[in-house]
Amino acid sequence: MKYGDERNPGERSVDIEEKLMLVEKDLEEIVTRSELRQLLEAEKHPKAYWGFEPSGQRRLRQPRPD
Amino acid sequence: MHLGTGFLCGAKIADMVEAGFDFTIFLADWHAWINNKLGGVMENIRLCGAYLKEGFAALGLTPSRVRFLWASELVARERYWENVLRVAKKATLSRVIRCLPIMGRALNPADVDAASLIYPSMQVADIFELGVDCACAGLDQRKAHMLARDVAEKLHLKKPVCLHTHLLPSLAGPSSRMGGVYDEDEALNLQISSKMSKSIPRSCIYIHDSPEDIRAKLMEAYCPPKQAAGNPVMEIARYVVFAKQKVLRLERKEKFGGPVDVEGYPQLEALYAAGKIHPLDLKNGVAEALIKILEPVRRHFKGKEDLLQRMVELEKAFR
Repeated sequence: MKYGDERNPGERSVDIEEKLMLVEKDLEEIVTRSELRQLLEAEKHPKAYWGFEPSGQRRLRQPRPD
Repeated sequence: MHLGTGFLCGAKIADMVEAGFDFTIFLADWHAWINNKLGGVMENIRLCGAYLKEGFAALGLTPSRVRFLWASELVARERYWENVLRVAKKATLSRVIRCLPIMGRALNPADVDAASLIYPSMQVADIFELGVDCACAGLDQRKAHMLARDVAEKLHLKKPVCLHTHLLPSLAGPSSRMGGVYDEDEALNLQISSKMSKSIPRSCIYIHDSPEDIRAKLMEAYCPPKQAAGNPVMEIARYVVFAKQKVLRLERKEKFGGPVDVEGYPQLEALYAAGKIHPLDLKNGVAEALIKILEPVRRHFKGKEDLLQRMVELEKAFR
C-alpha cells in the first residue's frame, strides 16, 4: 500500500468505494474485481488503455460470398 | 465514429479518468492495416485515426485529459517486435487462432491471411509495452485479454485487470445473418455477431450524423414491441440516453396517452414490457434525445468539415 497522501484511512476507503463504483458502472465483465480494488488501493493514478482500430467499417467482417 | 465507440467506450473512459486513471487511447493503425480496414491503405487509416481523435475530443476526451498514442509509435520502439515474439512463444497456434474473433473474424480461419496470426500477439505485447495496469475493451476482445493474463503469468509480468463493456447491437437487430461463429458461448456469440454493424446500410448511428439521419435510421430500426432484450432502440436508451440524462421525454399525441417523462431505464423497461409505450413513440423520443446529446459533436465538427467529408467518403467507399 502506498501512503502518498495525508488523508486518514477512513476517508481513503470512501474514496476507493466511489472510484470503484465509477469504474464498475455498466461493465459487462471485470477480471477480476478484487484485483481492481487492490489496484485502486495501491495506486493513485493507475494506468489504463483502450485500443481502437481506426476504421470506417464495423469490426465484424461479412463472410466472403462463396 | 459510431455511437457505441463514442458513448459506451467514451463514457467508460471518462469514468476512469474521473477515478484518477492515467488513460491512453491507443489508435491501433498497424492493427487496422493487418485487419484490412479501409482497403488496407495506411493513409486512409491515419485519416480515420485523426477523425477518431476529434470525435473523442468532441465528447470531452481531449488530449489534456487522455493520452493519444498511435500503434506506429509503439511499433517503432526498439524491442517491440522482440516482445511480440516473446509473447507468441508463450501461446499455442491453436490458442491464437481462437483469438481471431477479436479481429471480427469468425472462428473458422478459412479466408484468413497469415498476418492475422500475428495480431493477437501484438495486442498482448501492446499491453506489456504500455505497462498498463488495466486493459479496457468491448466484450468481443476478451479472448485477447485472457491470453494477455495467461502470458503475463508465464513471462512473470504484471497481469492486466480487464474491463469489458457491453456491445451495442446493430439497429437491424440480432441476426444470424452474419454467419460464422465468434464464440463458443452462445449468448456472447449472439452479442458479438449482432454488434453495431456498419456495412449493412443505415444499421449504425454515427456521432456526427445529422438530425435527419438519426431520425430516419431510428425509424427503420428493429424494435419489437414489449421486448427490451436485444432491442437496439432500448439499448440506446439505456446505455446512451440514460447515461447522459435522468429523464427521457416521450412526446405523444393526447389520443395515444399524451407526453410522458420516463425516469430512468428500469422505469422505461417496465413500461415498455407492459406495452404502455409504443415502439414508434420510443423511437421518436430516443431520436430527439440523441439529437440533443450529439449536438456538441456536430458543433465540434463545424470548421472541420474537410476531415468529416473525407471520412464520410471513406466510409462509403469501404462499406
